[in-house]
Amino acid sequence: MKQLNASIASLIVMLCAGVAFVVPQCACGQSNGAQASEAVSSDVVKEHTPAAERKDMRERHISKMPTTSHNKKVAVDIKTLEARLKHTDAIGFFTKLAIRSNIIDLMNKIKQYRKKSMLKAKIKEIRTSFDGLILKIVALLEEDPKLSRDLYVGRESIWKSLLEVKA
Amino acid sequence: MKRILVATFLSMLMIPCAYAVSQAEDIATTIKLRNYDCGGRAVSNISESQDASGSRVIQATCPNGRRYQITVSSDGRMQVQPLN
Repeated sequence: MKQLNASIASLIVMLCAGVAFVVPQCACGQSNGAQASEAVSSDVVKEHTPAAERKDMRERHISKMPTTSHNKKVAVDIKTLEARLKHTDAIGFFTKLAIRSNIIDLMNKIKQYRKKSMLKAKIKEIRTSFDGLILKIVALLEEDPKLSRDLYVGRESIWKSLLEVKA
Repeated sequence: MKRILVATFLSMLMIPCAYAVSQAEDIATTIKLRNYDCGGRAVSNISESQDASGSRVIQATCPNGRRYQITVSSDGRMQVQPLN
């Protein structure tokens, strides 16, 4: 009985540890993740240090955290994203094919405009349809928030790789 | 009894997050992704066949009453056409 209780307790502890590990990562958007870790650290610090010191420590902690601001380049492995999109259960087979077809259409448009030397003039239009497509995919992937977030964060890299496609 | 409890608990842990999409929802999403109006989350009256060129042809009715034909070619390209 004692052994059983101990094993159940250890399982619960492991689960709790897993949740604590996963939650800050799952928090969508960079600011949420920062807020979550800030909240955790401030709770620990609150009990032992005076207010001024606490504020200073929090500032130091935030400055140490890796920042992913919008103007900073985010390295994204497009091949990995592609594989994750292929294997996700959040969207169905036909939806995946439709996304693929939409991307191929976009690539064909880019090739066509490049051939006609009209790419510079039409870049805004293509970018708008690309952004629309990314937003649609992000919305569809609500069951796979991590992939959805990664796709959104890596949209600039995806856009660049689309433009790199030769005619 | 204890063993059953532990086994149930462990099996609950092992159940993956099931969020498989139904074919009706999948086809409706496909129609919407190809910029056609569907008027709902799932289609009905799905019929599937294969044409002479080996392409998969699916016909389905949207909640708004419109019927669409989805053609998936052998190279994976997809085409959606309204039928009415």
